[in-house]
Amino acid sequence: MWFLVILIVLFWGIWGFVEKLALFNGTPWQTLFAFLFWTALFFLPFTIIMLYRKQGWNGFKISRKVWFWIFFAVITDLLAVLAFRYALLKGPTGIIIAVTAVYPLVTVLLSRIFLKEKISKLQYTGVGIVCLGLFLLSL
Amino acid sequence: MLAVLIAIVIVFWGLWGFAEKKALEHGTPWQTLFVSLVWKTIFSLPVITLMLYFLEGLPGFNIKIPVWTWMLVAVFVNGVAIVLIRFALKKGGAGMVIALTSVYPIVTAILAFVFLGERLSVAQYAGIGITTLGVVFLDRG
Repeated sequence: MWFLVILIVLFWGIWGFVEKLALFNGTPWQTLFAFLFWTALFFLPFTIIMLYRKQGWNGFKISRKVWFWIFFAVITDLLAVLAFRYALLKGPTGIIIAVTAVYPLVTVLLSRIFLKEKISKLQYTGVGIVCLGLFLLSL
Repeated sequence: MLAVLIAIVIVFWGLWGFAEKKALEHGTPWQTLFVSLVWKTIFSLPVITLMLYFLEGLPGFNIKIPVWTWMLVAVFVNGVAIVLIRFALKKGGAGMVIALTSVYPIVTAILAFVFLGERLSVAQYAGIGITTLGVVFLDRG
């Protein structure tokens, strides 16, 4: 899993950098629109092809629970993005980015309560330290 | 008002990782990705299109070519991460995966430092060090 985590961190890190480059030439709403436009145009067809190649037509027989939970994920992500951009309009950028960096704590708590994931005291400390580090990084 | 918005961001982004994990209990990574992109095309794209129109009017859609180009690159690199995180969530716990991958701003800060010449403050250097220490704690826990 560590190999996957390193790749994810690397690619998301590059993504943040590329977004920065795009923002030199456009507004946040324009970049978001262009991002979703390209996603619908290229990433969705690519995923359909991959799903078909990996699982055939059976891959498209998807459980209703998947549709529900992913709908929930997309809506929460969309609302978070909208709230984040409105917060940036109303308050200081550094503080908002810094404070919102604690969101992994919510995932950890929800996973502990509802998914019964076991997390050691040392790992709880680690999550807290990561959030503190991200807070400082955003200042 | 600002505090409410910040609370929404923290809770809803926190919920996102949890919901993805719940979906993966009932489907494969490629299935959840497909469903996610369908919902994004149906909901997120129209909502953001309307937001762009209301906030910037029709000139808002006059988007410069570098924006289109960089966002195409952004879709590619983000896409790789989005595919991989589903496999990571399938293998590991949601709390751990989300906590570990949340450190990606370090990579962005380093790239901005190297390629854009953005200088890091003392607090940011400390942030990189402390975040790395947190990852070591997560690994050893």
